[in-house]
Amino acid sequence: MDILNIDFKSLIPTLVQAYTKVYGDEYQDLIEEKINKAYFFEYNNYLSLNNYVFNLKKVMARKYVIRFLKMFNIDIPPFSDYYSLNEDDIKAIKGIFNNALDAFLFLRNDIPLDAFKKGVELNDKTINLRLQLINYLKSDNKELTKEEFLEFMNSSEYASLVKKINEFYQVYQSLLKEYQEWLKSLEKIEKYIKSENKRMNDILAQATDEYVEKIMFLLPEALKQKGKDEVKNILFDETDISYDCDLDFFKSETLEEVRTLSASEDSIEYILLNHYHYLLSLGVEIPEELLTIKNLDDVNRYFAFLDREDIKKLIPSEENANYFSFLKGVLNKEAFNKFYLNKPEVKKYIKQNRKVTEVEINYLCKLLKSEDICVLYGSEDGKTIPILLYTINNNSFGVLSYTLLHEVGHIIDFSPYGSGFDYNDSPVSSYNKAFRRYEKFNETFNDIFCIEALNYLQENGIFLIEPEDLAIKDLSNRNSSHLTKKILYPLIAKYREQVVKAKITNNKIELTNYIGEDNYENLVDCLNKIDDLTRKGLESRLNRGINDEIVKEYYEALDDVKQIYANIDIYYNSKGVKK
Amino acid sequence: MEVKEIVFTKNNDKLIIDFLNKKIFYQDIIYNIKEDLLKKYLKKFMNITFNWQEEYINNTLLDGQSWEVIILYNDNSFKKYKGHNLTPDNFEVLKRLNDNLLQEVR
Repeated sequence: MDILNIDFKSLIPTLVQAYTKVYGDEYQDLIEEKINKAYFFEYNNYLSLNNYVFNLKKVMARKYVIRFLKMFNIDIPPFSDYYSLNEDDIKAIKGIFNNALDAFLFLRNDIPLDAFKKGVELNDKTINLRLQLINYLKSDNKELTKEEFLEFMNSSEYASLVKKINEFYQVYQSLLKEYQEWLKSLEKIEKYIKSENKRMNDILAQATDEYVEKIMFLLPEALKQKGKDEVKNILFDETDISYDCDLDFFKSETLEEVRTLSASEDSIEYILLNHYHYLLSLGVEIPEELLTIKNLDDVNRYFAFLDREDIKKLIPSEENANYFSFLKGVLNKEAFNKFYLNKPEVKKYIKQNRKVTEVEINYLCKLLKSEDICVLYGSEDGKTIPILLYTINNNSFGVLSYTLLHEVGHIIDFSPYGSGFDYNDSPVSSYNKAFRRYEKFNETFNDIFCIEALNYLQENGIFLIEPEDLAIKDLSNRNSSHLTKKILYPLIAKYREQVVKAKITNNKIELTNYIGEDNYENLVDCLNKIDDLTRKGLESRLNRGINDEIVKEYYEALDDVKQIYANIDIYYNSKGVKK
Repeated sequence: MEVKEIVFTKNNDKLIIDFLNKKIFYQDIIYNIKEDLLKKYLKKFMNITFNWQEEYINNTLLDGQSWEVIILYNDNSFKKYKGHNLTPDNFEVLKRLNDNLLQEVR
């Protein structure tokens, strides 16, 4: 699958198949209808793609290391999730490669093996590398010192080891060649990354030039005299228009923070640092005693200095500084929007949605900048449709298929009022105002069913986007914590049909009729509480056997959950609708 | 106050810049980093985050991404910025800064 252009349409039948298996045949038509109605919008972020490619290389590099070592009967188990090598494995890799990644991933040519290449000069570095490898290969496990090694080099044992090393080296060279051949398969994506990087840098460079051009005539004379290029260097040095420059620190809002001491000590120190840098570029040093502001006397002294005739003429007026800051903001926003709006996938989206407004485009650019993966509300022919924003971000490696299935889970539950157990007009959670009340409840259910769908596909040898060897296997803590998933399993075990119907129809009544509204709300509360505790470090505390307030609260919540399930049984037997 | 460590977390992705030991920890690899690179990085980082609020929240999106930036100082005090479905306007500038840093050390 081409990760630059994932063909979502071709995946739809498989997505339908997976979720039909999870939810039941009776929902197949509904699932198909919902998924087909959605608009799949994949957008690419070159920085995250760069990281993704690095991870691909890392995985492949490790495979080559394992292959290499296997040829010499050094059996290292396959790396899973890139972690956990035991001491012997590390010794083997360290001995031969120094660092497994250096040889293949970083293509460094100063690994221990390379120190035995024909014609390599014997110096301190190469001797140390040779020593490293020889000490690993010696059968008596007795490590030589550098002095002993120099003598050892004359021995027959050394000659025999060098013969073995030469065999290693031949194998290494052929594997390296194979790895370099594989690297060519990444050329397309690396070309894309490079061109996007250049495009962004060019746009920002252009915008920075434009900014300096536009403000030149308003700058203080002493700065203006230096000319455009020098002004650009002083203001932006190794940065660009997306950063603050010294002029921003003379605007009214910022000066007021200093005048009234309303900013923190750190912030004031930082503002003064920028003033200092600015004046220094014009040959004036602010006296050190003025650079510490702790009280209003200090403030008055500092501003008296800035008000001096000889200083005042060097710094921009507040009015001008305000304008400079405003203009920079406008040009910066234009630059980023220009970058995003000219992405082919964005142009295609806008072309296909002729009625999309400027406000919506700006909002879309904002979402693309933050690399959001989410389901948005869109409209088509007067009807509300879900739009899936999908991208590869720094978190994506090994979970591209999972992420897609997760979002499709939301699409299936999508309605104009919300999705699954979550509602647009839901109040915020009483435990964490960052989340809606039913958000984490919904997310946890969605994750549980998504994992079921993913497992079904993988058990049948179907890997949607990434191949099997890249897919991360343990997803129990992905997105939602396994601790929140745990408290919902009993509900699914007993009321699966009702849970599924409530979720798919975005109507909790399909479930509360059976278990009781109070019990439902109490379960939501408990889940929110446990979710919040996981964000406060609950999991690591449990793993380390710590028993503090957070852990105590967790066990109290588990007791509450136990009681809720007991109450659910009572409700079902007495008042609940019967299955 | 001197910065000891900066920790970035976005969902399951974590980047740690250790100023004390001049190391970067990212996706199970430890990178060494030179002092002058760290200094340049910190200057730009402070520039980017200078006007940030403590919290950025958007409760209206279905599904979500949470992020956190924690600055640890030598005296063990810290400053935290966090968000859910919403980022400061210049968040991407920070992402570019971090990704460029990783490129330099790789």
